[in-house]
Amino acid sequence: MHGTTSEVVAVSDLAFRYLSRSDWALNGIRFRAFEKEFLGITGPSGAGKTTLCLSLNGLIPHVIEGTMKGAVVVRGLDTQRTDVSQMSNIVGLVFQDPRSQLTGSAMTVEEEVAFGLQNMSVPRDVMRDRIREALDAVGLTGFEMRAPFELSGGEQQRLSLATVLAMRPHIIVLDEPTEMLDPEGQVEVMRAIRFIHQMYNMTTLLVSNQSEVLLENANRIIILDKGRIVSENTRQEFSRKVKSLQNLGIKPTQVSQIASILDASGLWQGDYPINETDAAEAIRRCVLRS
Amino acid sequence: MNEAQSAISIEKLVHRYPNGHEALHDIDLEISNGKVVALVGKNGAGKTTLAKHINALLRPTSGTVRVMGVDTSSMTASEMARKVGYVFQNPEDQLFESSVQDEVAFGPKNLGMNREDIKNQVTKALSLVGLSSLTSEHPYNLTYGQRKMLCIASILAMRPDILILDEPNAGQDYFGLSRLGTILEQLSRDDKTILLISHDMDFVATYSDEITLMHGGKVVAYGPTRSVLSDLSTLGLTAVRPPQVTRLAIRLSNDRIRHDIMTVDEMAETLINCARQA
Repeated sequence: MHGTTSEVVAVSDLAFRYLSRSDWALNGIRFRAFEKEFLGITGPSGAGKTTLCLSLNGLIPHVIEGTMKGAVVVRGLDTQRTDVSQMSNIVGLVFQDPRSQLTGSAMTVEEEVAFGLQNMSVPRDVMRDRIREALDAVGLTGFEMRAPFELSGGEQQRLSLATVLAMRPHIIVLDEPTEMLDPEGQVEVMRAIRFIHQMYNMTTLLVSNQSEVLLENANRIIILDKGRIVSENTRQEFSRKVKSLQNLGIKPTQVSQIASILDASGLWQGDYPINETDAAEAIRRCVLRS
Repeated sequence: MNEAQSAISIEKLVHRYPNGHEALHDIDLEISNGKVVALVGKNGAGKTTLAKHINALLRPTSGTVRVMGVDTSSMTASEMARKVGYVFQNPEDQLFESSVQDEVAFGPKNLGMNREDIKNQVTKALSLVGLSSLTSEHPYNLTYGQRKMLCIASILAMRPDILILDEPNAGQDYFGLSRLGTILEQLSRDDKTILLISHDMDFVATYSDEITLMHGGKVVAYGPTRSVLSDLSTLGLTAVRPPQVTRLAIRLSNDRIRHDIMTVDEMAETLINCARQA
C-alpha cells in the first residue's frame, strides 16, 4: 500500500542514552511513518515515549545531551546532519503541558502565534494570514486579543497547536497532549487535532495512554516498553491486545475487555470491536442473536 | 453513632471570591456517613472550592457547613484536622519531610498521638497504599504515582472521619488505579466518608456510591452513581461522558439490556446470562 515515495519518517536502529545515565532510554527502535498517516504510540511511563518524540525533531541529539546510535530520517533529512531550526520547521512538537510550550512573554494570543514566525523572518502580510489560518484551524478565532494565561487548559493546548501549525510543519508530533486537561478540554483538543490531520493531510504522531483515543484516531499503533518496540498494530490487532496492555499497566478499552471475557466463554466471533458502535453490532450478532 | 447521620451537611452555601466572582451559588448537600461520593464536573465548576469548605480552608460567604454534626465555623484547625483530611491534587504542595516514614508520622505527631499509636498508624497507612518497602526512601526518589500514594498515607495516618481526595487518579497507571480502588473499598468498610474529585469516569463508575455533579457553581444532580452516569440529558450540560461500557449499554437498551451498567464485569455477566437463557 505504501510506496517508498510516501515515507516521511524512517527510524532505524535508534538508541539513546541520556548523559549520566547508564541505561538506554531507547534501544533498537525501528519504524516508518507514511504521508498523511495518523500513527499512535503508547507505553507505560519510562517506556521512552517522550525520548522518541524529542528524537524526531532533532532536539535529540542536538540540544539534549547523551549518546545516540542509529538514524532518524524525516522527509529525507537525517536529524544528526540537520540543524534543529530546520528540523523544527518540518516537525512540529506539542508537549503535555501547554504552559511549557507557550512563551510566557506574549501578552496576547496573536503575539503568541506570531512569535515563532518572527524568528523565521516571515513577511508581515504572510504572517497575518498564517496567524488567522492557524487560529481558525484550532477554533480560536475571536481569541486574538485574549491573554494566553487567562485561557482554559484546553484553550491553551489549542493555542500551542496553533503556534506549531503556523510554522507549516509537514509532521506533527503530540506527546500526551490531553493528559492534563479536563474532559471538555480533552474533547476540544482532540477535535482540533483531527481537523488538522484531515484538513492539511498532516502526518500525525500521537502519544497517548488512552486506548479509546488511539483506536478512534490512529490507523496504526506502536506499543513501546523499556525503550523498545513491543509491537506495531493495526486497530484490529490493538483491540485484541487486552492482556498484554494490562500487563504493561495500560488500560485496554472497555469494549475490548468485554470482548475478551466473552471470547474466553466461547461467546465471541470475529474481530474485537474498536468502538461501542462496533461492539453493539457484534454483541447483537454473537450474543443476543437479535 | 447514628448510622444514618450526615457526615457532611451543607445549607445554602454561597462563596464569593474577593474579586466578586461567585464560585458557589446556594449549595444544599447532605452526604451520609460511610459513602464514597464523587464530585464531578468540568474545571471551574466549583468542585475544589466546595471541597475546601468542608475542611474550612475556605469560609462561606453565607450559609453553613456542618461536619459530623458540628458547624465548621466553630471548629479550631486541630479539631478540623482530626475530622477531615484533604489530599491535594499536586503532591509537591504537601510533601516536605526527608523520608517516607517521617512524612507519614508528621500528622499523627502534631495531633499529639503517643509513640506506639504513631508507629501503628504509620505502618498501617503505608501498607494500605503499598509503600511498606520504601519507608526510609526520600519522597523525591518516588515516582509521581507513588508520591500521590504517600500523600494519601500521610493524611490517613491522622485517622480522619472524612477524606477528600482531589484527583488522586491523575498520573496513576493501571496498577496505581486498582490500588487506589482497593484503598477506597477498605476505607469504606472502615466507615470513612470519602469525597473524590475526579475526571476519570471509569474509576468513578466503579468505586463511587454517589455522584455530585457540578456545573457553573451549582449542584445540577446528586444521586446514586448508576442513575447520574446513565442520564445523558443532565450529563450533556457538563461535558461529562459516561464510561464506554455505559454508552454501550445505552445503545443496547432496546435489546433488553439494562441502560445503567457501570462496569466491564457487570456487562460481561449480563451478556453471559443472556446467552445462557437464549
